[in-house]
Amino acid sequence: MREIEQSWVGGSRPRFDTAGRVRGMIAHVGDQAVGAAAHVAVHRATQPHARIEAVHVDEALAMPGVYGVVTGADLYKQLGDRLLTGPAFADQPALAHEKVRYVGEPVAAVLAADLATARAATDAIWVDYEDLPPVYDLADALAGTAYVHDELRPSSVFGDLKHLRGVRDTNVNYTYNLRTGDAEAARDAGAHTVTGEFWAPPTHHVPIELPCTIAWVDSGRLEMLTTTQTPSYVRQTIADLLDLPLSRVRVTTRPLGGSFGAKMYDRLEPLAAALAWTAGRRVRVTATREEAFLLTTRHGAAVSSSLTADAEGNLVSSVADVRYDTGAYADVGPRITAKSGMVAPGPYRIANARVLSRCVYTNKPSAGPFRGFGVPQVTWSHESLIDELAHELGEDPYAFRRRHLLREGDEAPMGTRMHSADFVGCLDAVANAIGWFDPLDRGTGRIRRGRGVAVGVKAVLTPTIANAVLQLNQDNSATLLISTVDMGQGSDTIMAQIAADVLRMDSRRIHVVRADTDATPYDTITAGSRSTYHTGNAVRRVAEAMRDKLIGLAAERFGVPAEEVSLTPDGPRAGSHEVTVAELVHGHFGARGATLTTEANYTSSWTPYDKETGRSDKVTEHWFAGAVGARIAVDTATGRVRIEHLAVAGDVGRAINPTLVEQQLSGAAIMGIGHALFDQLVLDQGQLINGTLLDYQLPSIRDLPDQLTPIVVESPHDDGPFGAKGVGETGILGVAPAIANAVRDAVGVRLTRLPLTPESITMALEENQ
Amino acid sequence: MKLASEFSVPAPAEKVFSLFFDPDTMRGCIPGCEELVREDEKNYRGRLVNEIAHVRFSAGFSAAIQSISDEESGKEVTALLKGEDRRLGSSIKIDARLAVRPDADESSVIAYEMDMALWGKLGRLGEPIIRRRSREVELEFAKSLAAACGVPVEPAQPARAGAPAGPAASAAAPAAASPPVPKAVVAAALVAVLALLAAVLRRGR
Amino acid sequence: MPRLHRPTSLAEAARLLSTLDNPMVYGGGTAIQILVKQGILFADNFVDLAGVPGLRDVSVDAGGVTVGPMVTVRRMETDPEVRQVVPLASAAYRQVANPRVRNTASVGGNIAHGDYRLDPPTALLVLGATVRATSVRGTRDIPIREFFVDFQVTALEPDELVSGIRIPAQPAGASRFEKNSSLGENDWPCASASVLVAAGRVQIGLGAVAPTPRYVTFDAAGLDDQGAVDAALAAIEPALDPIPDVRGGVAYKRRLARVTVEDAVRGAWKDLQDA
Repeated sequence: MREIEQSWVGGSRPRFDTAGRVRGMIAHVGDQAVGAAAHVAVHRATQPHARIEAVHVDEALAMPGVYGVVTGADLYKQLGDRLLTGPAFADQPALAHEKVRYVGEPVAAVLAADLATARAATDAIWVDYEDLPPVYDLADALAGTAYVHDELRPSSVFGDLKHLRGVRDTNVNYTYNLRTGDAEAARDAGAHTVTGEFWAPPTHHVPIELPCTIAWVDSGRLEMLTTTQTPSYVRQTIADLLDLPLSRVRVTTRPLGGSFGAKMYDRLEPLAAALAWTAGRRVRVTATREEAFLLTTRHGAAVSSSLTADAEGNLVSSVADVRYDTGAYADVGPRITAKSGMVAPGPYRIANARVLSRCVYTNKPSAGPFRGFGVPQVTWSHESLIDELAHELGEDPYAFRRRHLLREGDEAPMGTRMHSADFVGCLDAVANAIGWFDPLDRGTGRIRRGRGVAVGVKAVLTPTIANAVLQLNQDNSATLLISTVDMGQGSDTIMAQIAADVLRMDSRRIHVVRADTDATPYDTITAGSRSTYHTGNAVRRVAEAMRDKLIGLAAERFGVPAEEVSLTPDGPRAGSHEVTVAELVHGHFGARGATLTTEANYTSSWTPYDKETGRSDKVTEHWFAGAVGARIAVDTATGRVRIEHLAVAGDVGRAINPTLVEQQLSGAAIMGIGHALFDQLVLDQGQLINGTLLDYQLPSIRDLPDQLTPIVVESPHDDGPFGAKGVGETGILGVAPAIANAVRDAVGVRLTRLPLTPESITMALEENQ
Repeated sequence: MKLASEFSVPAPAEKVFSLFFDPDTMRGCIPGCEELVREDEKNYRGRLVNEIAHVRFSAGFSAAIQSISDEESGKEVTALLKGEDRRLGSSIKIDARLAVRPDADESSVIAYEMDMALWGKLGRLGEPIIRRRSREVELEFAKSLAAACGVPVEPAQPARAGAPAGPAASAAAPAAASPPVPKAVVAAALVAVLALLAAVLRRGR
Repeated sequence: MPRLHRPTSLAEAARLLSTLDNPMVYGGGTAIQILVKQGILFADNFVDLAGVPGLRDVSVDAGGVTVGPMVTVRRMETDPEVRQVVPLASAAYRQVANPRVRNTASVGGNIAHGDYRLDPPTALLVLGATVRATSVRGTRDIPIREFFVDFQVTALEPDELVSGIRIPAQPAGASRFEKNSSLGENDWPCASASVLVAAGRVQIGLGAVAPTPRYVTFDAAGLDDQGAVDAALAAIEPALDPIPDVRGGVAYKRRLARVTVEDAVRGAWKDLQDA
């Protein structure tokens, strides 16, 4: 392969920014000099649920270096109900207004000459509270004696939430129902039913880079530089918050140092914008590591579920009651509740399915998007159930799954058909990789070995919109304007590869502009594994438009019909005619450095699911299919799990950059190991007690599998750019159940609560004796 | 966080019980209790001052009596305590139950259960420190109380210190006939508050 | 923020500790920085020992090792002489946190912290180390077995600083350091044990399983390996007093303590037989 081709689709071109990221040569938001900005620190609530009676700020204001102290009431005076923002519900104030709803909620902001002063001043603020009955967990919330919000406040963004406006006396802010066939009757009539009470705890994303927002007012416009995956969303939110036209809000970004969903929607941005706008000065808002734990979390989720087979071993019924704990603010919880609730039966042929999926407020830090968007929590349920059902039927868990997995063209329980979702290929790949069909040394004495597999399915975020603008420079380099945010996944690299492939140029000559809402076009969000497909399609189209433009110019220059011109790495060709792109563009404009511009859009569509049945013939643009295989060893004396081999496969349609795809699969699998064995936010009566990196557990380098095998499965998507789909989440879906299934295989205990701590394993072993 | 323990005091239940009504005794038994004011029949307000490792510490608290039971077989009070430490940006709420029952050999057993919520910076400190400190403060309290009972100063040993907690303190208790017992609850809760402060301050060393 | 003082002699450091308001000795800073960052440390003055000459010295003689308080944990791990004379201590220091921390943390700060979960104290207890404490009132030697008084409380007076640690040479025999965490491999230990089998005795230092590091010993004359393990498990039983927390309940921590001690005793016993 020529070097240039290595930079196109299918080539494993290295990320353009690897060295810069590792060596600190790339500036992140927090690295930017801010001049005479006011540094902001916040005073946080010390009550889980209380009415704010008074906020005492005089002592803080009197401290040298303090420019001002702002409370929720101050902001409300200026902004009214616009103070309340959120992607699904307009329920979250930048600073607590009237009530606090979780321990650690921002109550007042101090603006000071430096951060140390601002932080010291927050300690001098105190608040008089009137206690309200706290809602600590799902049980409290569903008991319905105390309410986190007086009434539901769906935002104007989603029309389908309109019916919830003003609903009172509930902590359930959204309910999704799936009804296919009669699942209860089929369960009762079935021959074999397994049930479980599953729990996946709240977790935190822990990106290396901490969030930071710098906001200022310039010529009557609100401008900001912020750590966000969702610049277009933030622009809209800030415009709404300040009642400004979109043209008077500018959101700019820098590369993110990881995010995983932590830097989406309303994080520090509404507060920074409100403070900059009302104070009329540049502000810099950042979060310490401890504060970042409070900004957003992954939903803790309880799933009560069953899976039933008939006498022949066919799956006949799946029933699941899913409760997502969304904390004090809904964030995107209602969307997660529906999109993940609908795959609670798993990627299987099941005639009857019933899912009740609810999004529930509690007095806890808010939960929002997290790699997998709620799906790992239901995968935990369905992949444990089907494994247990296989055991009950005396069948091989791999073969049993394989028999029932959805195939191309099959309709899933929620009514949408499968395309480019090769579950069988993924399952086969991981089973082969971990030696499923070979004899296993099960170990003697303390150490016992086992193997487990799991499959996962997730829908891509739909409908979404992507736009791209391409400027081809006269020297045959290019500038690609998109609003996708590179947070380490390598989007800037692969988007250039897509455009370069079309234009037959070296992708390293294409610069991808960082999202800047003044310059880069609207793009829904960089999340939900949607960018490769959606933005990738927009990029492919914008490049095709440019190719057509070049060919048109060349045809004119050559005096031949456009159909006779082809674009090669050396420039347009037609028979004996040839010209370089540089000559062509120079000839067209008569100037060096001139640019040609094209633009393109890609929008996906869906059919909203039926309110009663939860079904839709096109609930998503496409599916992600993944599988995980694990071979593990359990030390029965300590309960520790050692992962000897973890294989993770994902159907990516077509790998734009195989190495980056493997890295995404591996990275997601490692994060999944954390969720299987370590990660959990521990709360005691509303107080997060392990919200520091001393106590919160992540897998370290020493916890990694002895062998980690990422496997790229390619079942091209008809409409994907070059057949490609995204891959950011595919690898994480099945990790926890694959490991738990391997534990079941090794030592015969079925654990239903994550994480699988050594203590929980030894306790289960003792109970089993 | 639930804390529960009991310890014996070498004096009859009646005598121990009566000492609970004596503010001077209580003030002496609770390390650092500088102020204890009865605001009305059921509400008390106080201030806890402590000085460890050169740090002078002062935290206000309130106590509201929830129920009192004064029977021959056993005496019990439940109360809701709240304290706030502004400097540490933390608050504490304790549902507390304190019971005294007669034991063999002219001694009695004091049992307490606390359901303690710690919110703010202190909440992050973690349970182990609080648990550990509460045991120490309990010993101090028991020792002082024994001394107040006229028994030679020999520290009472915790009967089952650190044992798992029983049901939450708000468990049904008979309504009050007369309200002279609350300081005992205050004492028990202060054990916890003190434990907390001691923990923080010692940690600062 | 606390004020930072940088004395240039031990006498000056001691004087600062006796005169300043609410002072704290600043060694490697690895523990202090965490508490400062969390906003729960209340020192008004830091007395940084970095500029005091001689505190980073390690001297080895036939009788043992004398270590200055500012010697890094990393040096205890890697110094060939230390490894030769007190291999058990070196093994324990090698397991502290991670290389970044070990390169910064000091041996004096490590014990002055007094945390019940630290690794090195288990070995120092077994080897019978002596802590040298200096103040304006002079210098005194504190046997390590009397040093850890209570939960994060040591025998040091507020105006004292650790000015050295003397570790006697390890007697002929066999030793092992083992530790187990209950969560990530790099987490705080949930149980740790230093074991020395020498001259017919077994000595055990325990970490993380009680509010302070604990020391137990028993006569192992005439025992075989299983007998030694049984005796060890019986011997540690009264010393176990674990604090339940997010890393495990009492029952689990006791279990892990027993497993850790059994592994260490068995390993040391085997080394002795193989020698």
